[in-house]
Amino acid sequence: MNFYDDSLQYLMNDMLVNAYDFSIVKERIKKIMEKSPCVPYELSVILVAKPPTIESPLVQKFSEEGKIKSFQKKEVCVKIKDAIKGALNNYLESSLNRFSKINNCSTIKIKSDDNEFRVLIQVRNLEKFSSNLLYAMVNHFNVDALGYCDQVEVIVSVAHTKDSCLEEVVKQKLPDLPASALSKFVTLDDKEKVLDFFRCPEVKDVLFNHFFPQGLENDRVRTEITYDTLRQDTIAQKRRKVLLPSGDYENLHDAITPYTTHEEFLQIIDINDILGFYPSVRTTKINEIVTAMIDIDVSGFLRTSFSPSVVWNLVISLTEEIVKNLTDFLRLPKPLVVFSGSRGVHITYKLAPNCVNADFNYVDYLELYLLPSQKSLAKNNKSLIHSKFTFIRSLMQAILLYTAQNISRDKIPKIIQERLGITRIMDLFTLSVFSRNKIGVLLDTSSNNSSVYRAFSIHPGTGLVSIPLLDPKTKSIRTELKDFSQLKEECKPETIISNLRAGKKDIYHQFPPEITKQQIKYLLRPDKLLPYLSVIVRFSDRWATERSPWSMKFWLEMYQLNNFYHYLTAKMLSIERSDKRIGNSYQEVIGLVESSAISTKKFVREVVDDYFFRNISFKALKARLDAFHDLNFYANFKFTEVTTLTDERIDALYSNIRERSIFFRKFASYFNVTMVLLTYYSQTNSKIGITVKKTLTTLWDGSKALSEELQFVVLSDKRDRTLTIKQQFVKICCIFNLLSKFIKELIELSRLQ
Amino acid sequence: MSFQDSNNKTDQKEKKVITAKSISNVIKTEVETKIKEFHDCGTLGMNFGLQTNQKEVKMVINAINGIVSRAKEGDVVKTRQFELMGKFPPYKYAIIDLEGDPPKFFGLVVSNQVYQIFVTKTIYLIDLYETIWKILNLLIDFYLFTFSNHENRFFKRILPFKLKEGNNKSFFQVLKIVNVQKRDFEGLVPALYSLNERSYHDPLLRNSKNIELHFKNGDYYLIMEHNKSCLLSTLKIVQKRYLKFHLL
Repeated sequence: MNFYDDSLQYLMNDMLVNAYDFSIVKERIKKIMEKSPCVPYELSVILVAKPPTIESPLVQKFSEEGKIKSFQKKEVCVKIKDAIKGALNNYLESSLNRFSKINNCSTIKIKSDDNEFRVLIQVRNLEKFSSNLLYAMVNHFNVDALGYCDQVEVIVSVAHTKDSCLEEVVKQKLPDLPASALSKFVTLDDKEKVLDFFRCPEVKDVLFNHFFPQGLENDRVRTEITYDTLRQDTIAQKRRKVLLPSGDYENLHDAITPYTTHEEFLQIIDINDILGFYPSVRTTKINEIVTAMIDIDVSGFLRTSFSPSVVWNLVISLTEEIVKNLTDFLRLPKPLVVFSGSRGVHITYKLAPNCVNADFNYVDYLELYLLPSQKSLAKNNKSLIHSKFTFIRSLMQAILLYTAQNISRDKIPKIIQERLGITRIMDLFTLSVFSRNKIGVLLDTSSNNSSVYRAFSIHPGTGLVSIPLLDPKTKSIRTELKDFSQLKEECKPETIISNLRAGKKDIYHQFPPEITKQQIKYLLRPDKLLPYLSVIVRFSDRWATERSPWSMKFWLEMYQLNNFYHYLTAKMLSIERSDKRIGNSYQEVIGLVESSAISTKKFVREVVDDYFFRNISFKALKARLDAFHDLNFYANFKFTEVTTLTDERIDALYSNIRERSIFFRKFASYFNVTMVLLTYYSQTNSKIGITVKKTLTTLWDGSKALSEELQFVVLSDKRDRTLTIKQQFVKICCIFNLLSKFIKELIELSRLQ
Repeated sequence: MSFQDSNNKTDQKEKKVITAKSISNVIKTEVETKIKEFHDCGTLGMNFGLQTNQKEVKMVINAINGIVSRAKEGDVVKTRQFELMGKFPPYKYAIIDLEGDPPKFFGLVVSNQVYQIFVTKTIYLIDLYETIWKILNLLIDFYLFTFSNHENRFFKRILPFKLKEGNNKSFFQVLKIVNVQKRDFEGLVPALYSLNERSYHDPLLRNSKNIELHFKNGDYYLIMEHNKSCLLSTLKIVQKRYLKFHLL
C-alpha cells in the first residue's frame, strides 16, 4: 500500500479502453459442431494472451499523456499482470464438476509466464455438449482484464475420433476493438438521452423517496449516495463526490436535500455527467441500516449458454419462490421486486427505525446468542453479533439458503436441467461471491454490508432502467414482464417517459415495505430461520451451499433440535412468573412447542405446564428439557455411540484426562435422562419408579464427588489412594454401562411404538 | 535418528509433563480446597446458605453504613451511596466489582443498597483496602457474586498481603466469591442480551481499559458510572440467570 494506490486504481480503470472480439471463436465452434458429418470426439481451444510491458503502446500512450509517471510504469505493468491473472483464475473446472453431464469431460489449465498467459480448454465426448455450452466455456475467459493485453491469440484444434490426433483448425489473433463498440454500453455520446430521462419530474420524486427512506419530512434519515459518471471510451464509473455549480466538491448526499429543486438536481446531473444513482443501505449517520436486500444475479456462463428468455424464466421463478417463502413461511409483507437493468432482480425491504440496535458493539437479539461457535463470533468484530450490517446480511442469506434447500425441481427450466445434468438443485446456487461455483446463480447479499443498490436509474451496460416488476395493486409480478423481450421494451427510458407523461405513475411509484423488530424476531424462531442461520455460522456463506444432501440434512436437523431446546430454555428463563402478562407468554411458548418438529413434543408440553401451573423450579425444568434434548439427540444422531464400555476402553479413559472429562459429561447426561424418564414413569407406576430412583440417587451422590476428584488425578501417582480411585472409576463405568443399555433399549422401544 | 530414539524422546516428554504435574503441590492444595468449596457451596449448600431473614440483612446494612460513614470522616476515602427501587427478597448475597489496576474503586450491592468507595490518590490505597476488609468481615456468610475472575484473584491472592495487620490469608480463603460468567471472557452486554434484557448506560462504552487514564485525569464520575453499570448488570444476571439455574 502506498500513497498513490487509489489513484492507480482509477488510472487502471481508464486504461481499460479495448476489448477482444470472441465472435470468431463462436462461429468456428458452431461450424465444427453443426457442419461436420458426425460430432467430433475432442475439441481443444488455447487462448494465448500477452500482457503489456513498459514498451507496449497502451502504456506508452498513457505515459505520453502524462497520466503514468516514469517511476510508475513498472508498477502499473505488474498490477495489470496481477489483475489479468486473477481474472483468468476463475475456477471453471471445479464449477463444472458439479454437473453430471459435463463432469470428467473437460480439462482446463492456466499457465502463466512473464511474457504470456496460456489457457487450455480441452473437451471430450462432445455429443454431451451444445455449441453454446462450448462457447460459454471459452467465453468464460473473455474477462474485462484481457482488454489490457497487447495481443490475444486463439488456437482451435479438433480430433474427429477417439484415436485420431488433434488437428489445428484455426490459429488467429483476435481483433481488438474499442470496448464501447463491442458491449454497446452507455457513453458520453448518449448524454442527451440520459438527460431527457432525468428531465421528467416524476423521476426525481421516485429517486428522492429512495434517498430519504423515512419520507421527505424526516430529512435527517438520508442514505449515502453513489453515482455513475459517463465516460467517453470506458464504461461508466462510480463516484461519490460531485462538482457543484459553485465550483466546490461535496458528497452527493450532502449536496441533495428534500428542498433541492428539479432544476438544481438537473444542473448537478449535467455538470457531473451522471448516469444513475445508487443509494446505500446505510444512512449518513454512521452505523444505521435502513434497507435489507437480496440481489439475484445470473452468471455470465449461464447467460452465454442459454437464451435470454430461458435465463429470465429462471430468475422469475426463483424470485417468485423467494417471495412466496417470505410471505407464506415467514409472514413478511410482500417485498419490492425491481429489475436490475441487466438480467437480475433486486428484492428489497425497508427496516423500521431502531429495528436493529447494536449498543456497545453487540446486536440486541437474544436469538443470536444461541447460535453455535459463540467464542469465535465474540472474537470477530465483524461477526453478526457485533455488526448490524452482517446480521441483516446473514438473515437474508438464511432466507436464500432455505429457498435453495426447499425449491422444487419444477421451478428450474427443463432445458437448463437437461443440458447441465443437474442432480442436485443446490448446485445451481451460490451465496458468496468467493464461492468456487462460478457458473450458478449468485444469490447475492453483499449489498447489505453497507453497500449500494441501483434505484430507478439507467444500467450502464444495457441502457435499460431498473423499474419495479410488481403490479401496484396486487403486488405480484406483472405477467407481461415475465416475457424478456417485452420487459426490454418496458425498461427503455423512452417508454418510461411516455408512460409517465400518460399518467401511469403508480407503476414506478413503488417503495419497499417496512419490516419491524417483531417480524425479525419471528424470523429468528427455531422453527423458521434459526437452524439455517446456524448452518451459515457453522460453515460460512461460502461453504453452506457446498454440503452434500446427506450432510445438509444432518446439520439442519441437528440445529433444529439444538436451537429448539436452547431457544425454549432462553425463553423460559426470561419469563417471570409474577408477570401480569404471563398468559401471553404461556400461549407463545405452547405455540412454539406445537409448531416444532420434535418427537418428544408431548413430554415437553407437560414440563412447560408444570413450570407454569405447578411451580416447579427453573432448575428442575432445565434438567427435564436437557434430558429430552439428550434423548432426542442420541436417538436421531448418535445412536451408534450409545454403547457399553469395554475393559480396554475403561483403561484408556482412566489414563487420559481429556477423554475422562468428556466421559463424565456423558455420564451426567445419561444419568439425567434416566432420572427424568424414571420420574415420568414413576407417576404411572409409583412402586417401581421410586425404588429405582432411590438406588440411582445414592449411586449418583457417590459418583459425583468422585468424578470431580478424578479430574485432577495425576497418572504417575501410584499411591494406595489412586488404586481405590481406579476401583471406584470402574464402578462408575459399570453404572454407565447399565445406563447406556437402559437408554438404548428405551430408544429402540420408542422406535417400535 | 532411529525410530526407537524418537519413541524414547516422546516418552521422556510425557514423563516430563506428568512429573511437572505431580510436583506442583501448590496447585494440588488449591484443587483440594476447590473441591471442599464445591462440597460446601454446592447446589444444595447454596440453597440453604442463601436463605435468611430481613432482620439479618438489615443488621448487615446498618453495620456497613457505619463503616462507610466512618471512612468518610477521614476525607481520604470517598463514597457514594444510593438505593435501588423494587422488591429484594432477603437472600444472603452481594454483588462486588473492582475498577482499576491496582483497584481504586470498589462497588458493592447488598439487598437494595449500592455502595461505591474509592480514593483519588494512589497513596491512600491502603485506607481503601482497610475499609474493604472491614466490609468483607461483615459479609463472611454472604455469597459474593462477581462477573470476572479478577475480584477472586485480588481478594484471595493480593489483598491479604496489602493490609496493615499482616497476613490475613485464612480469612480471605473462606470468602465465598462466585463468578457468574457462563464461560471465560463472556461479555456483560451479550449476557444481558441473551436474557432479553437491556444494557445500562455506561459513559465508558464498556471499555474498562481506559480507567487508569480517566483516573489520572480526575474523571472519577465517569468511572463511578461505569462501576454502577457493571454492578446493576451483574445484579440482573444474578437475579435472572444464576439464581434461577442454581436454586431448587
